[in-house]
Amino acid sequence: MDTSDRLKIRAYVVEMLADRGDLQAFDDEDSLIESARLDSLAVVKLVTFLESTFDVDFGEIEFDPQRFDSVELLAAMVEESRG
Amino acid sequence: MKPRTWRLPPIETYPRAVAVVQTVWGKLLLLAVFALVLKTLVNLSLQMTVSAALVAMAGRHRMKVALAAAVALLLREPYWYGYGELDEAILIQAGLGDRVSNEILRGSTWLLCAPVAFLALILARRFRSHAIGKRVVLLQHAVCLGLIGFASSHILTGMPQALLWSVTLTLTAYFWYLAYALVGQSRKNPPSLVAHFATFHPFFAPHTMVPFGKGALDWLNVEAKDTDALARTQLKGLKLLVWAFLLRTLQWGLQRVIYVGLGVPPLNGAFREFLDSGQAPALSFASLVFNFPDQLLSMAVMGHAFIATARLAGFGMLRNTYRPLSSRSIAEFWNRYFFYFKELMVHIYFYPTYLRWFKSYPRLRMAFATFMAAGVGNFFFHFLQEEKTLVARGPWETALGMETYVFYCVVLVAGIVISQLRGHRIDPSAGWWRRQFFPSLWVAIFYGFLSFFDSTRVLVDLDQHFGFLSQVVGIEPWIRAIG
Repeated sequence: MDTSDRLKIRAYVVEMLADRGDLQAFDDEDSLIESARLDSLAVVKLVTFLESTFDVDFGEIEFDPQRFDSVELLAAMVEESRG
Repeated sequence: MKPRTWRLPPIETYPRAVAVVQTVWGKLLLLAVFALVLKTLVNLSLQMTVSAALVAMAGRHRMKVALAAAVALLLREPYWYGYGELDEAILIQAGLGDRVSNEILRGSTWLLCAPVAFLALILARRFRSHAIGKRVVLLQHAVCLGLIGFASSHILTGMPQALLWSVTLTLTAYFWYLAYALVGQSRKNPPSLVAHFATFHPFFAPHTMVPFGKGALDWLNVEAKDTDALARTQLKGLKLLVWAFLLRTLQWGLQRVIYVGLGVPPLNGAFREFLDSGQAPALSFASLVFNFPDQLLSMAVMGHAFIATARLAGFGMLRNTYRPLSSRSIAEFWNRYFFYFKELMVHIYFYPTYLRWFKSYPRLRMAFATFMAAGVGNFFFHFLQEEKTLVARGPWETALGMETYVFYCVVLVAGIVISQLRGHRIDPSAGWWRRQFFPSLWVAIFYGFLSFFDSTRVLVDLDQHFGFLSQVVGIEPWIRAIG
């Protein structure tokens, strides 16, 4: 996947965490949902973000909240949506 | 000014504590302390602790042992869902009261239900790409309502009718566990059937319709992968249990002071007296005010005890209640107060709605999905809980009788939608009072008011609820004057 796309995803996640007052650093592989740093409302925001920014269609690829757990998994979903 | 937060020491990060818990004596000490503290909080504490210990020791066979523990729990209390009374009512209704025993009905029911659930999971996997398979939980709703309608129509008679009601109510008791399992079966890599069945009657959270820990996929996702992780998870479990004990002690102290010392009647008692006499007892306003923190503490204690036991078994699940009074928005509180109920509603109703409906209208999309989760799903969950009324009066009358809960759902949905659409960005320049205290206070007042409609009997008319409220807050004479 394009590095700039991964950076876009990362920047969005950083912004979401900052909105919640969470300024802790994290790696692309770090868990965000299972570690409770983000909740199901954040998953919804990420759905909207992936749809609008990368044209991801969740009618075409599998929707599984566990796939929103890290930047790496989000990037993989974008990759999958592009076939 | 900002109050300091106090936390229990992070024992799971102490290398020495982690090492001790991995020794035989350390494990025994941990289990002994755990069992002792758990005994003060829940029934079945010994069975829960022993089950958790066996599951923790089972390593990669954890889910198989969890299934055995679930079966053991069910054998010990086969009538957990009020089945004793229900079976009796069903048998009397079918004219079999003196001819068929509860035991025969219950045994036959389990023999029928297990293959039905098994078949449902197999079919969900087999047809996961089919249009119906993609809406398998919707189909589950239709089947459930169809069974309730069929049973209440009394087309069948005698033993077939009794069995139909009994099977239907058993499937409704496990409805939400089956829903998670059906969703899990549609995933690329579904868990085994053993894992699904282990989650249907969690050994750490017995006798609840809400799947604490969610489905098998989620259990497997958070299980400790090595002995070090297991030790840390167990220590986190112990810490959570101690926290539950402290909260229970606080609740006990408050109840002694408020209910015994000051003579304030518990809210349910005060409301019952109002229904009997038309007059709310003295100090009912205090009952109303204290009911909310009392309810919060009960929820926290129960959830912490359950999740602590899951952690003892090696499942690093998230807490059910997490600092609800620090919520700055109504949506945030819903997430923090009863996490696993909210997750259930989000997974079964919110996500599917959000992914399919009103994609071009972001605000409407969010509002409609919230309505489906906090409104429709929430109502349906409580509708299924009214099992005795369903048998006695049928589904239509049961639904009509739940107007108070409809009101609760409508106000909750409105509150959450407004709170979500407004957002709650933190203004770093605002002081603690403006940034944290006042928003949290407003949220607590909102839920404090709403909890009255949730914690009293939902089948009592809304008029009666407002009648009580108007007396308690002293506006009844004004309402009478207006006519």
